Amino acid sequence: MMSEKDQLSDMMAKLIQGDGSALTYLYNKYANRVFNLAFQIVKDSGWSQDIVQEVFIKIWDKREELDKDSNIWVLLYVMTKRYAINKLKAINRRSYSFDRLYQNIELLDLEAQDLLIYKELEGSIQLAIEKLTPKQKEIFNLSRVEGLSHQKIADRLGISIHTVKNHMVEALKTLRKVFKNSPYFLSYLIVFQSFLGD
Amino acid sequence: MDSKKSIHLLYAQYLANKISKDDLALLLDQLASMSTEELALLTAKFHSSEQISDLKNTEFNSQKTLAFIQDKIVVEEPRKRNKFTAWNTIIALAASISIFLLFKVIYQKDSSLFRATQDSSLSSISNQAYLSLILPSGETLHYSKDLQLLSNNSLALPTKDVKLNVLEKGQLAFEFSLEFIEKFKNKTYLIATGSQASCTIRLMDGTLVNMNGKSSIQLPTIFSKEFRTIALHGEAFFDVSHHKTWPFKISAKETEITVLGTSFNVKAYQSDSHVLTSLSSGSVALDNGTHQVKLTPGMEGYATKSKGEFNTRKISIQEIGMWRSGFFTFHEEPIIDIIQKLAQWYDIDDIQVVNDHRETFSGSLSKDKSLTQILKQLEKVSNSKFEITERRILIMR
Repeated sequence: MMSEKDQLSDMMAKLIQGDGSALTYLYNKYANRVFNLAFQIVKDSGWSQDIVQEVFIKIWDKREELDKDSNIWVLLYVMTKRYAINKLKAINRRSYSFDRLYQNIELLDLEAQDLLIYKELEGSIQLAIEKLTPKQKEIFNLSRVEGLSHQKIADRLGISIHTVKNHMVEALKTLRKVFKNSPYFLSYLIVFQSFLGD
Repeated sequence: MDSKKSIHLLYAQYLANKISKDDLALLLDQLASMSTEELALLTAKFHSSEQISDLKNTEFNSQKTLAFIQDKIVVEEPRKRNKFTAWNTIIALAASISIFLLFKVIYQKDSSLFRATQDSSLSSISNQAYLSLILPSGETLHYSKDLQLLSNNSLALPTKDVKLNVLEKGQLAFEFSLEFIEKFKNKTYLIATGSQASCTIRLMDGTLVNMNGKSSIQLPTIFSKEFRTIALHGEAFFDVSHHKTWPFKISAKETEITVLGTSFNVKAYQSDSHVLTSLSSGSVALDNGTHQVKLTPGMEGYATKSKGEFNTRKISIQEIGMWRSGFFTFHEEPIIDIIQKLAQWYDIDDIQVVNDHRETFSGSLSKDKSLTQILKQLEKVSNSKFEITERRILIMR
């Protein structure tokens, strides 16, 4: 039985020789980490996927310069950071990408808070959902009840991912407004704060 | 405030998703002015290489990204070039023959509806056809991939009678003149796709039909007041516009599918042993004359040949109509089934199994690749070897 380290350097040797299956192996092992790092920096799944592609294609192109015993993750890490930052550097204040980035920030912020609220209020949230427009409701349900990714929702409904995110931002904002005036939300806050106090 | 301090603060706010629009612009400006070394230091501070999560983000389409990568790296191998080009020629030839056959089959089958035209130029035109329209008169219009009219075999047909409109998101709609509809009131016309085509047709009631390759739909020039009826050969994903009192009926081989408004996939190629209906939303009823069954979302139904009863099974909604994304997807499927799906797309006549390993595979493969590339990819992950001769695939050890 080969140790994990031996297996990795074995795969690296295969990669250097031009074996495509070795790249698939490395991809399966590290793609999630590359994606997550890229996503931390660029905050967009589409851009992060582009970076994952860029990184692994570069690894393939430069395979002959690699050392089979080097730490491949460190290399991937450095490359991913660089590509991700380069992506940010290229974003101009007045471009479409800027709006897309800002929208992602807004959505990620709302989703982080929403996750807690939603878990607590699963029952009463149905009432609140009724306040949404039909499109917002549909997208909210696909995202929260069926657990689909934004891209999958976009594919399913035949609209752009940008539109999906727009609807999500509006839906979450509406829900928060509804809960601000609701007794459920108050009791939720009290429970939550006493929990924090412990 | 010195600039070093403020960039750290801004970046921290950015990572926490607590940053104003103006500050975001400021941050980007600052990043743009920094050197590679400075940026490496900044990011190293905030993103420790030890602490990057290994968990899958639901927004990450890992399979698709891998397919893109493999696509790009395999193409660069120079020694495969010759085989690749030769194979393309075979595919093109095969496509022309099969489209010709497809038309022949349709004509024979629906001879009461269509007067078969004995036009010798048909095969040469349909060779390049992406989409074809066969009118009630038997006249045929072929369109190229960029939707240019290739040629029509009837000079008598005034183009003002038929128009192909390109709508939002590339949806296509055929528009007929009023005189034309009046003239062919109770007649049907046919829309057929070439082997590598995939396009969305918008019908007059607003229903969207996303057609897979080598498929055709046949429908009246105008729907009757009682029913919206349509016949399908091949595979299509339907998004039926909702009309409470105006049922939409699809006949696919011996199965009739009745719906009010919903989205679902129907697979009914000649070579398929049964008609497979997969529902993603709403509800549909299947009927084959002797048996009926109702489907709920996430269910797939098909009639067994022998008894005529319907079988149903659960499937994941995401998988329904996945062919539309430009990928073949498989879920725990044996090699032979996977090859059969490929054969549909690449115009393969016959599959011979010399040695089957009974292995099953899950994953997705890009439709943009050549068959040789795809088989090569499959060989890498399986114990099987494949060989292509003429228009046959051999599966062996």
